[in-house]
This record gives sequence, structure tokens and C-alpha cells, in this order.
Amino acid sequence: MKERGFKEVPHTADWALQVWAPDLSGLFHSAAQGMVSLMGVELHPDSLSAHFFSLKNSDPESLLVAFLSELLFITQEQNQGFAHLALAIDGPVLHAALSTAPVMRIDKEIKAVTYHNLDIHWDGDRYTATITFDV
Amino acid sequence: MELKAVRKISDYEWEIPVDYRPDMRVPVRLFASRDMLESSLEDLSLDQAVNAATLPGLVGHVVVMPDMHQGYGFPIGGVAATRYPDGVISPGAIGYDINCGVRLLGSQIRLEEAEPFLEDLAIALDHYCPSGVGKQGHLSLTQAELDAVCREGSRWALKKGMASEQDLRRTEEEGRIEGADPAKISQRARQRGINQLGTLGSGNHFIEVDVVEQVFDPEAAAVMGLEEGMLTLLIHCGSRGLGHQVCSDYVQLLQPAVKRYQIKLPDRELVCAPMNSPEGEDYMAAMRAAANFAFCNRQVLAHYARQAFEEVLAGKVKNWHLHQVYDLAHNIGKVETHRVGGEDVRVCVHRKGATRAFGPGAPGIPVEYSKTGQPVFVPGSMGTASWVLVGTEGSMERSFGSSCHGAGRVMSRSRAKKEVRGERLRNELQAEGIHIRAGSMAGLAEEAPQAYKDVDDVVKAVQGAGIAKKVARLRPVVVIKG
Repeated sequence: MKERGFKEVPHTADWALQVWAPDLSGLFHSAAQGMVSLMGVELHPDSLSAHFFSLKNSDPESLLVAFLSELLFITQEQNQGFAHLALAIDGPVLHAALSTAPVMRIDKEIKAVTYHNLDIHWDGDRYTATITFDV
Repeated sequence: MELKAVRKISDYEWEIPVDYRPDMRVPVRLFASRDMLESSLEDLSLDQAVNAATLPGLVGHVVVMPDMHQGYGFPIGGVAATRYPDGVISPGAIGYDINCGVRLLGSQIRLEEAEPFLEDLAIALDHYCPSGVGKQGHLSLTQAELDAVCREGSRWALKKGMASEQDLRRTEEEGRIEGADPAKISQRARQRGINQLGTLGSGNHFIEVDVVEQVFDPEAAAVMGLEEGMLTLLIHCGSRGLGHQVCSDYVQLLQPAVKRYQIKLPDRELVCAPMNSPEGEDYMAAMRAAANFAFCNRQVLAHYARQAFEEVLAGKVKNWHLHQVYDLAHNIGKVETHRVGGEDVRVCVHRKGATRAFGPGAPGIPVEYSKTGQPVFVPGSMGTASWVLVGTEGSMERSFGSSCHGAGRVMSRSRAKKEVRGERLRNELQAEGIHIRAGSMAGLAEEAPQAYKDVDDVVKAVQGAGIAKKVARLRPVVVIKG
């Protein structure tokens, strides 16, 4: 199994994140971890609860935007961050199972996940994508 | 992009010709000094302007302001006009914070009178005007009230005793855009907006007390009620989570429309649909509902700020009243009439990080500003000057009645956080006599003055280009950051 990960890349006004993983669900997982890392989310150490959702979209990029937007909503509006995340992607459908905990602190709000130059591609070794967030 | 691709028209006006790239439909017109133009080549702002110039139905040229910087899809500081009703409307060319904008209130409070109470004023403003990530406000609306806010904009606040007729008259579109339909916004957008009316949010949003440091146009300043040495209040915010969600929803919903209408785009974030298509009509109705929410949001914040001023300054200064100078949007799509190729043409002007700047005699501005032109506000970076300008005949002729909206970033947020310590910056600004309240030190560092262009240079460029004219320079004394 090749490593998955994320790193922030410079962007003048907003935030951009490069993510990579050996498979699509790993890429989505990395994107989720990178996003909450950018936001500086701190969770309450106890009080874990379960949260599930499914999404369907026509292409992987739209699915990624919808998935991260859903996490943003849960985190910023329902005040629940994910401590653990399990994902299954089957064609256009994504199933997510989250262990969530109350958010104690968020350093920075993300307004939205954008499609800007978003292209999930296989570079022969791993999936990569660069995601731009409006902040 | 290289500098050689850009043709000089004057010291402050440049053009990327329509044949620069085969998919461009119109040229790109840049208003900037040579230095600003050269520095803009360091990010993707001009490439994004060229991408914007491919949208179907464009007329004239895509305009880029001197505070331009790289955004997502459409450059910040960009203006594009599409023929109404068969040209496209693009949510990405308006932005997620629909009707993000600025309101300026003036006063007869002399700085010397208020100086002993500025720290108390900072505390009171921070208390009355909730700020920060996802912050909820003092108001909790019913669903029916939310509908009314989205339909009526600032007029809702008037009915609730939180506005005056003059406030509304001195607001772009009188604080209410026709054609809003709250039924076109999602349940999730409603959920996000229902507790956020009267909140500032985070990011680069702020409330600032400034002093009028210098007046450049005494006649226009007098009409606005601005005098040297007097305090003013600037409010910068938008439609909060409701607007963000409306844009997110329609950027997704319109993706299939691009294929349906056989539109080719260089960037999916420029997603769009013809204004007279069902998808385009739905987005316009939803976008206008969010814009009305934003007008009302700034109105409620102004009401709270007035309460803070009264609480702190009543009985201590002669007149603590704050009067509205103007309120305007800088992320919006508006149907307007402009002169293009010698003819009056109905267009949808997309302004993303650009301000309406109608000149003298233009329709739709308050009668008292008909001689001077519409007020335009250009907030600087935190701790630096802000400007009051007016629109000109030149802006009507050359930039679809638009001008710049701020200083414009030059440094990435990640670099700003590495180079600037929030606590140190706050101490430095406080040592300069600026009272600061900030939700987060990391957020403060990202908004550091060194991350932005010099706002004085930006204003010099728009005045030099003839698309706005200086009225007054403001200096901050209290800053509340989300």
C-alpha cells in the first residue's frame, strides 16, 4: 500500500491543498484530513457518536466537492468533527461512516470547496488532485 | 502569462487582445500601474481573467482592477458583462460570499472627544456585533421571517425598527434587489442563515472605527457628511453561511447545464447557464435572495454598532449619532444598462471583488450624490488606511460603472502565517493606537498588512485611470476582526 497524504500549496487569496493516495477512497480520506487540518479543528476528546451519509454524483471531482462540502457542513454548522472516518466509493456513489465528536475550537472558517482546476488523475503511481477552498 | 502579451493603452490602462487565446470572446482590459501589472504576473490572476473572457454572451471587455489577485475560476477584482437575457450568469464569477460588501457610517464625533473611550467602544462593538467562525447572532428568525429578509432585504430591518429611511435610500438598490425568490434556496442554506443575521463572520470581514484623516474633495465629502478629524464606522461582511450555501448548491446544480447548453469552459468553477434558461433563472432568483440577506445583515450590524456607540459615548460626546454614507456590494451580478459600441445594452454585470462606481447623473444613485457620483469604499489592509472615492464618467464609459474594492492580496495565507505572529502584530498595532479585537491570532496573521498591496497605490491607479476619484482618506483607530 502506497502512502497517502496532503500538503498545503501556496494560493494568494484562498487555500489550496494537494492530496494523493493509492486509491480513490484514500484520496478522499486525505482531502478530508487536510481540510480539517487547514481549519485547525480541535475536538472534544470524549463523547464520540456515529454519523453516516451517502452521496451520489456524476464524476469523481463532483463527488469529492460534495463529500468535502458535507463534512464542512457537519463541522461548521452542526459543530461535529470527525475523529475517525471510513469510506467506500462504488462508481458514482460514496458511503461514509464517521465517528464524530463536538468541536471545541476552529481557527479558520472555510466558506466553500471549489471546482477550480480540480482534476483527479492517476499519475501511474497514485491518485492526485489539488483542491482550492474559498476562505 | 508574459508581459509582452499585454498592450499598453495608457500609464494606468492595459489590454490583453482577444486574439491572445483562440477561445477568448472579448479582450481583457486592465486598470493598473506598470508595477502592479508586473506583480500580477506572479500569480494566476491574468490567466483567470483570460479564462473569464471565454464566457458566452460577453460584451465589451472583461475588466480587471488594480487590486486584482488570483481567486478560484474568476480573478478577484474582475468585472464581466454578459448580454441580457441570453448571455450567461456564472455563480463562480460572483463568488461564494454573495453580496459581500462594505457600509460606511459617518459621525460628528471628534477623535479627541472619543479617544478616552475607544477601548470601551472596541469592547462594546465586539459584544454587540457577533463575529467568528459559524457564530450565531442575537436574532433567531422563523422560516417566515427568513423568507421576508430574503425578499425585502434592508426593508425588513426598517419594519423591525433597526433602520431608517435614509439608511435604505443610501444603500445600493435601496437594500433590496427585485426578483429574489427564497423558494429557490435550499433547506441547508436556510438552516445556515436562520441564526446568522446580524453577524460578522470571519476571514477578512471586519468592523472598523476610523478617523477622517484627509479630505481631497471637500464638496463630495460635505455631501457625505464627512469632515476631517471626525469618526466613521466601516462594516465589511456578506451573506454568511446562507450565501455560501446558495453558491455551493448552484455551482453543483449548474454543472449538467454546461453540457446541456454546449458551453465549453476552461475551468469548471466558471460554471454558468444562460440567464433565460430555467437553471439561470433559478440561480438569479436565489442569488438575489442571498444578496438581500446580506444587505439586511449589514443593516442589522449597523443598528448594533449604533447601540454600542450610544452605550459608550452617550453623555460623553455632543452627538454620538452615526449616519449612513452608503452601502455597496462587491460580489454580485446585477442587470444594468451600459453603453457598449455606441448603443445602450442591457447586461448582467458580474462584479467579483469589484465595486459599483456609478458616476454623476447615473440612474439608481441617491439624489444627493447625483452631482458628485456614487460613493465608493476601498478598505485597506488591517491597520492601514481606507479610502472614500466617487464614481466618474470614466467608470461609466470604460469599466461598466465599476471600480476597485480593496487593497488586494499579494502574499499567500500560508506564507503570511509563517512570517507574521498574530500576537506580535496585535501588539504592534496597539502600540500605534489601534484598539483590536480578534477571534483568532492565526486569522489576524493571515490578514497582516504585509500580505496586501499598498491601498494608496491601488487608489492612485483607479484615479489615474479615471474610473474613480479621491474624496477622503480614513485611518483606523478600532478594529474588530472575525
